[in-house]
Amino acid sequence: MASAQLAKGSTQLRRRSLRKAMPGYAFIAPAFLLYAIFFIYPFIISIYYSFVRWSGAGPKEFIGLANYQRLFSDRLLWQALSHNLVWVVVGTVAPIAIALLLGALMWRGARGMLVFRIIYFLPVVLAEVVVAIIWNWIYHPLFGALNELLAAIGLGSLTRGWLGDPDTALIAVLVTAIWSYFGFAFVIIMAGLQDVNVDLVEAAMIDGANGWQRFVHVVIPELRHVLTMITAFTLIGGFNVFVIIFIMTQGGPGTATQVIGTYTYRKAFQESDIGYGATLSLVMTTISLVASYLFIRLRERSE
Amino acid sequence: MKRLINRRSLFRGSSSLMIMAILAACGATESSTPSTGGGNAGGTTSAAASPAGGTESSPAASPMGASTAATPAGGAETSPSASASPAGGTASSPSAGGAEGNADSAELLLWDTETDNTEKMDQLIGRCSEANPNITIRREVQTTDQMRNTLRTALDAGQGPDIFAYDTGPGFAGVLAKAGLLLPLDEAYQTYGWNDRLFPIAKQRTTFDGKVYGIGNQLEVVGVFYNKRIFEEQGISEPKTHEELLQAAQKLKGAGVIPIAFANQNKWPAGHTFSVFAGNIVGRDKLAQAISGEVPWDGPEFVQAIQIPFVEMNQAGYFIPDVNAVTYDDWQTLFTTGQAAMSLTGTWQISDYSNQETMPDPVGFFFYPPINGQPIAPPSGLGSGYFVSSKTQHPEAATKILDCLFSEENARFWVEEMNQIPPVQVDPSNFQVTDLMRFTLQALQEGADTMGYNVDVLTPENFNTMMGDGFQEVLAGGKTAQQQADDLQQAMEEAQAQGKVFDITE
Repeated sequence: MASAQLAKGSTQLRRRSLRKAMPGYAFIAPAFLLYAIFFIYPFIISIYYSFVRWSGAGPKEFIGLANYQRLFSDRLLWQALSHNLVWVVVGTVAPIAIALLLGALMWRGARGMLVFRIIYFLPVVLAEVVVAIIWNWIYHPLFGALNELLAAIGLGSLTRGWLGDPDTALIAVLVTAIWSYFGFAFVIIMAGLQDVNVDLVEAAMIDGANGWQRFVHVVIPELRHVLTMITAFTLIGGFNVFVIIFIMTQGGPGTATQVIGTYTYRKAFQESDIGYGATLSLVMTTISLVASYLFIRLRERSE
Repeated sequence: MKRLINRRSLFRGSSSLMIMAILAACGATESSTPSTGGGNAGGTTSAAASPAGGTESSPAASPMGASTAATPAGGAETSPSASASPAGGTASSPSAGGAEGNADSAELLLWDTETDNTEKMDQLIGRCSEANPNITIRREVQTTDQMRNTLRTALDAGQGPDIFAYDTGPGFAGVLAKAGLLLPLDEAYQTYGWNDRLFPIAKQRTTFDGKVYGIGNQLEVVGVFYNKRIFEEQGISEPKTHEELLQAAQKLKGAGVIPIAFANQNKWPAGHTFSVFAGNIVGRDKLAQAISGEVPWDGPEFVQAIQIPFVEMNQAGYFIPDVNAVTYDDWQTLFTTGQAAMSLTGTWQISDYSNQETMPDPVGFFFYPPINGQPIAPPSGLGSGYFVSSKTQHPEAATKILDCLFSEENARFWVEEMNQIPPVQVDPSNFQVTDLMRFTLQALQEGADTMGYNVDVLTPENFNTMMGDGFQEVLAGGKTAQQQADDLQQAMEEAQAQGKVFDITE
C-alpha cells in the first residue's frame, strides 16, 4: 500500500519534473537539431562510407573492412602522420615556451603592457587563410621579406624558396602556425598568472630560490590547469591541421608537408575515393580523441 | 586543361568534422528538396538550389541577374531570354503562338564556368534564346573549382543543371558517364550534322565506352610563347631543334634573363611540361598507348622525358630559381614584365599575352622543337566540354541549345569576343583577332590530327597526384627520373586494377 503510493508519487514527480524540463528541452532543441544535422548525422554517415568503395557518383560498393586494411600498407599515410607528430610536438612546445617567456617578463607589469598584449594577440584574430597568404609572401623566393632580410644582414647564402625546399617546407609552415597561435597561449597564460599565489613565490624567495627556480618550481605548477587546457587544444589542433598547409603548400613539395588532413582531402576529393577518404577522416578523429583523452587523464592522475 | 586557381573557393574546413560534414553532405542531398533541374512538371520556377560551396559568395557565383525569367505555367508568353544581356535579353518578344509555344516550351538550367567572360556568355546565351524562343535558359556561372565540388553531387541528387560545362577527362566527365548521369548524344551528332561541323577531337574526348556524351570546347595547345623584344636584343631566332633551344637558353641566362618561365609550386604545370617532352620523345601514338595503359611508363623514353626538363634543364638553371616555391601566377608576372624570355604554357594565356596593358612587349609563339630528330606532338586538348544531364526533362531542347552554342556563326563569337577556340571548323582569315590568336587557330585547324596529348586531362586522378607530387620531388633532387617513372607506372597499374583507365587509342 505504502509502496504503491510511493510509486504513484514518484510517477507524479517524474511527470512534474518532465513538465518542468520541457522549456529546457525546447530551448536546446534548435542547437541540438543543428548539432544532429551537422555533426551526428555526418559522423554516422562517414562510418558507413568507410565500408564502401564510392567515387562520389554512381553506385556504392560494400567492401567490408578493405578500407581499414589499406591503412596499414599506406606509406603516404604514415609519412603524413609523422608530419602530424612533428606538428603536435613542436607546435605545442614552442607556443607555450614563447608565451611563458613573455608572460614571465610581463607578469609584474611592464610599461605599455596593453599594447604588447594587443600586438601578441593580433595574429590570433586573423583568419587562418589570411595568415597563410601573408606568410606565403614573407617566404616568397623572389620578393619575400625573409630572403630580403637575410640578404640585407649578410646571410644571403641562406636565402632559398622556403616553401619549395623539402628540407625547410614543414618547419616554415609550422613557424607560421606558431606565430598565429602563441598569442592565444600568451593571453591564457597571462590570465593564469593573475591567479598565481604571490605568497608562495615570496616564501620561495625567502627560502633562497633564485628567479629560475621560483619560475620552474612555483609558478609553472600553479599554471598547470591553464597549461593542460592549452596543450589539449594544440593536441587536437595538431592532428586536425589543414587550412594553413593546404593554402601554403598543398602538401608539397612532393609530400614533404602532407599531413593527415590534406591527405584525406586529396584522397576523398581529388582522387574521388570517398570511401577511403571517410576512413582517413575517422582515423584522424580517433587519434585526436584518444590523444586528448589520454593526456587529460594523465594530468588528472598526476594531481 | 586550364586550371582556374581561385583562392576564394579553397576548401576551408580545418577539422575532421568539417570533412565529415562535407562527406555527409554528399549523401544528404540524395534524399532532399525538390528538384530544380529540368523544369518541374508544373512549370514552376523554383529557385535554383544555390550550387557552389554554400557560403562562399564569390561575386561570380551569382549569375548576372539572370535566372529570374519566370515562365508562367501554361502561359501564352514565353520570355525568350534568361539572361539580362544587352543583346537579346531585354527585348522580350513573345513566343510564336500560344498553343504551340505551350507544348514545346522548356526551361533549362545551364551551369558554365565563364567567370572571366560572364557578360559575353550572357550575350551568347541571349543569341541562342532568341533563336529558340520556346526555350528559356537560366544561366548560373561558377568557378571551375566550385563546379568540380558541386556538380557530381547535384546531378546525382537530380538537382543539377540540364546543360553544363565540365572537364572532359575520364576523371571528370568519364566518371559521370559511368554513373549514368550524362545523356548520350550519338543521335544528336547525326541529327544536327555535328560530325561534319565539329573537329573530331570534340567527339573523341567526350566519348566513353563507345558512346559520345558531349561537345568538347576550348581547344588548347601547349607551346612556347616568347618575348620578341628580348629575342631580338639577344640576336636569337625561333629555335628549330631542342639543342638550339638549349643554346638560346644558355645565352639568355648569360644575359641575366630567366630563359624559360617555368615554375611548379602549383604542381600541375609540370604535368604540361612532361606532356610536351613525352609527346616529342615517344611520339603521339605511343603516348596514347601509355595513357591507355598499353605501354609502360617506366621505359627509357619516358624516363628521358622526365630527365631532360626536370633534371638537366632545371640544374642548368634555365627555369625560374626555386622552381618549387614559385607559383603559376608569379611565372606569368615574370614573363609579362620581361624578366623571363620564354613561357612554356598553353594557349589559354593568349588573351593575357596579347593585351598591351598586361604584356607591353610583343609575343611570338612556336611549338616546342623536335628532340632527337623525332616529329613533334604538341599537347593539345580541351579546356572543358558541354554536356547534358541524363535527368533532364527536355533532352531535345537541351541538344538544340548545344547546337546553337556551337553553330558556325557563334564560333566566331567564341573566338572574337571570348578569346576561346571552339571545336567548330571555320575559316579564321577574316576574323578580327590578334596575330597570336590567328596563328594558333590556323595551327589547330591544320594540325589537329597530329597533335599530342596533355597527359593529365586523360589519366586517372591517382596518376595525376603522383605526377604532381613526384615531379616536385624530382625538381627538388630528392627523387630520380627513373624512380618517378616507376611510380607513375605503379599508379597506372593501380588505376587499371580499379577500372579507371580509359582507352584513347583510335
